[in-house]
Amino acid sequence: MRRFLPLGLLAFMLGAPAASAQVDLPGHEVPVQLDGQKQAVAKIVVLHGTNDGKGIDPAIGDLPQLKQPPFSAYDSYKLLDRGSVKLDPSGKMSLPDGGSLGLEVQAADGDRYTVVASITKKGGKKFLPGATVSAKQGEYFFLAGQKYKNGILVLGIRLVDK
Amino acid sequence: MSHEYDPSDLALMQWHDGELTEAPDLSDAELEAKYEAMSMVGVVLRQSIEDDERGAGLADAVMAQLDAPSDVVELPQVGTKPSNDNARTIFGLAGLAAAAAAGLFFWGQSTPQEPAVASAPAAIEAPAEPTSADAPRPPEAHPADLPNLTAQVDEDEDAEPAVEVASVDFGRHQGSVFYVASNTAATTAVVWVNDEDEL
Repeated sequence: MRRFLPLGLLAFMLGAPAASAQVDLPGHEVPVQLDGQKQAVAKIVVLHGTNDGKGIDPAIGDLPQLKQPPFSAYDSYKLLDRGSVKLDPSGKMSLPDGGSLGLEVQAADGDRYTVVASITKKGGKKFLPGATVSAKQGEYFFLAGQKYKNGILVLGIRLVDK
Repeated sequence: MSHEYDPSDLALMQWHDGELTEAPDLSDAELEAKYEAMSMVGVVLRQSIEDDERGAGLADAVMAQLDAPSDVVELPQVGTKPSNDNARTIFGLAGLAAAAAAGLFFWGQSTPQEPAVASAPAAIEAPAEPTSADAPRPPEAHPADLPNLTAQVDEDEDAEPAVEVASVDFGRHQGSVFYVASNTAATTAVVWVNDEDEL
């Protein structure tokens, strides 16, 4: 029984830093200077995830990730919008709930971009203040979880050369 | 009444018991009667003791025990075990509990540790996962759910990941970061915000 006390203390010590809303994850060195000659375009798909049993909308295209966790928490995905945002170095896109997606390229190194994504709700309230993502050109990353019409919004984002 | 020599009662008893060498003067009739009364009381008392058999042989029995060759005197069985004598049961149970505790301790110490790399989940969650009964939750990411992820990470250990989340500011919400296998050799990052819970 005495083993549980030090284990509990250890778990508390390890879990305490996670209580912070700001999470720094191990990443590669982010170039400080942005290549001025290189601009990018963000290709964005806006999906609506629900559990209404309709499956995945064929209009979405080839996104097998939607069948895997954590997306598999919802059995249906419908394409709501598809758009392109020119990033020089920042840009915005309106979302179906009246909010907006903000993207800002912080660095470009070869075929790799470092971008800060944020979501602002209608009325200006920050839903996601900022997620710093380093992605290769053409590779999707997702922002998900925002409630919308008995489901959630899923934003698939990939950056390509202008 | 006055006497020239008036021995005390003590002197009369000592004389009667033969403890005096000089005889007291018993010429006085009153002293003589007292002496005879003492003698009569002594005779009656001795006769009474001799007639009483309650203590007969007691002294001889005690002396025989003292003179016995063995120092060990076997006492008679007084009675059965007292009703509150639980000492053996208590000590037995305490011994069993101590043995079981020691066994569990050593068994726990000898349990092999799981390799950290093989069991590393694909999701990095921060801060703590909130609970909500009605809203669908992003499931826990287990290695079994992501069969291709570990192999790809091992193969491309030196290669830079296709998508990497450097940092996330969840603001007033809670959330998680997932890495999901895609149809290419790379993995996809998912920043999942829990909308129903605000810090």
